[in-house]
Amino acid sequence: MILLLASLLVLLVIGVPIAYSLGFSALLYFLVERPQLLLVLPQRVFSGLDSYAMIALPLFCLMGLLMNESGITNRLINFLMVFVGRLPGGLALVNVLDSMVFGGISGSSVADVASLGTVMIPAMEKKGYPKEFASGITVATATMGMMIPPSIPMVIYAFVSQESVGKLFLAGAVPGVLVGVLMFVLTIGISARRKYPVEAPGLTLREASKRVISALPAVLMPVFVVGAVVLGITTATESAGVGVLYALIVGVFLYRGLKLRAIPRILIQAVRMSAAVMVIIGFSQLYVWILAIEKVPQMVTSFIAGLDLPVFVILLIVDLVILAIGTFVDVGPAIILLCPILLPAMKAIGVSPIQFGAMMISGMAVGLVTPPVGMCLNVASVISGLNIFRIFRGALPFIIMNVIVLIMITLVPWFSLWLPNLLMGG
Amino acid sequence: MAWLNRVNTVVTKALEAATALVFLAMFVLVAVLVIQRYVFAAGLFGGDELLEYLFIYTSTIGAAVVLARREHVSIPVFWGRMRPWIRKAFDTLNHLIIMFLNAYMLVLSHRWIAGVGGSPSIMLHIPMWIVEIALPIGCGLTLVYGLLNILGSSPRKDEAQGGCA
Repeated sequence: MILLLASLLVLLVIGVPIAYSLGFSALLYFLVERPQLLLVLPQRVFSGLDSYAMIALPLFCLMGLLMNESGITNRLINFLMVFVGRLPGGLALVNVLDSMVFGGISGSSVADVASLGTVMIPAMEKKGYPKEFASGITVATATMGMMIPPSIPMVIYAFVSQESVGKLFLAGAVPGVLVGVLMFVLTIGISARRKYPVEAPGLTLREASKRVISALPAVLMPVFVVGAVVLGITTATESAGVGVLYALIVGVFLYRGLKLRAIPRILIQAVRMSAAVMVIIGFSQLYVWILAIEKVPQMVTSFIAGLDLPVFVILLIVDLVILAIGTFVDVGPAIILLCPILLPAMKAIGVSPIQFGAMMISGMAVGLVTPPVGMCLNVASVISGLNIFRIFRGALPFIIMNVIVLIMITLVPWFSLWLPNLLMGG
Repeated sequence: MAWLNRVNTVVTKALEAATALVFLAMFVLVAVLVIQRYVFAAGLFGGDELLEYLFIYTSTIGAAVVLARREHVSIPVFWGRMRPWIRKAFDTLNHLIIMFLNAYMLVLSHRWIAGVGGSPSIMLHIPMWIVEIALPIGCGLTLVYGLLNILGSSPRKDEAQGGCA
């Protein structure tokens, strides 16, 4: 077991891709400890790839990419300007709300930064906002994309934990909105103090209605997609398929921003995004199998249960572990690596797997915007030309809001469980 | 090296096109399944099973393409701080590790499929080796791309970028 963990750590540190680090360390384990069971390797990897539930992953990626290509960014900005343009720091507030809505459409924080950042960062800079603030708010608000449904990391967690995707989507909704509200209030405070400009669009009712109607098909998409899963009408895979169809119709016929010649490129992009995660899932099945054979989850569970600490203290320690891992490891792999070890222990101390999912995704979201491996920071750095540490400084006040919400959902299960229990039963 | 890059580009693009076509077929199948189920209240015999099998092929071949594009998820904490020659040495070592693993998986897959590949699938009754062979195919392609990456060959860059978080 020590060989497995030590070799995994070394391989990760020297930069071997996570999937192959898992596979190679497992191969070493089998060669040394259980050579008679080597045939388990292909069998387990294959069983990891053979999953109906995970078909939702490439379809959700495709849905987000299609909507992104349709040119929804400007429509959403114009739409939100109708509501908050007259407040101080109107453009910054649009940035916050845009991430909230866009997160629901794309299901991906990185896509959120890439798409909104290219429009919002230069636009805010032009209006006199410091580049550091413009980039910081863009990356920090993008973290909502992982929590607000439909969320791609939630699909991965649902697969690993064998929990309902619908419940997990709903578990992320309240924390996601809460982060948005806190960031919105913080932005108003900062904007008023620093006297950031009011946009004052001076829109007529006709123009405002036009903007709202124009953005409505995009804004309503997550409602249909998530609604169908939550109400039990479709499975997550079917719902993602319907979402792709919806995105195609909206992009090609309604917004006309999605050109048919772009579709092959988008399909390839979705396949590559999905394959990069699936190969990790495949090889992680070996790691999960070895952990089970070596009774590691039971050892972790009895260690945590034997700590003689109040549950909330244990959960706060777990939060720290999630934050620390999230700082170095990307979201999908981190879920795949941590979940098999921690989830049994969480269940043993009475924590709902749904609540733990919300904790995990919220904590990992912070990792996306913290150096040295913050994917969102890297994307924003390319767009703004600032180094990631300056962007991080700009994002820090907003990241604190994320941490506050993480603590709230850790200490008060209601925040993550209320909506799933209300709409889908206990 | 130019000819190798050209071959690499052509093969990678062909594989990407093939996986994109399979993925398109998956999407069409999902759409048909949804319409059948919710409009005509009927299922499509073996549809879900076929969907899973197509997904396995996109994942295994897609994973090889991801290596060709160097888009696999890793933890680049120390990577940026290394001197170029050390980074190059580690890059070669990492690819050798990937190649060793995939070569081993190729051999083991062959033995595994020889043992269980004859059994039929539950719904469609197709021999399972037709699906299971996706694994050694993916490993074989990954092996080739590992070697090409060590040799410094890379397919022409395209606009499609990864990242799913």
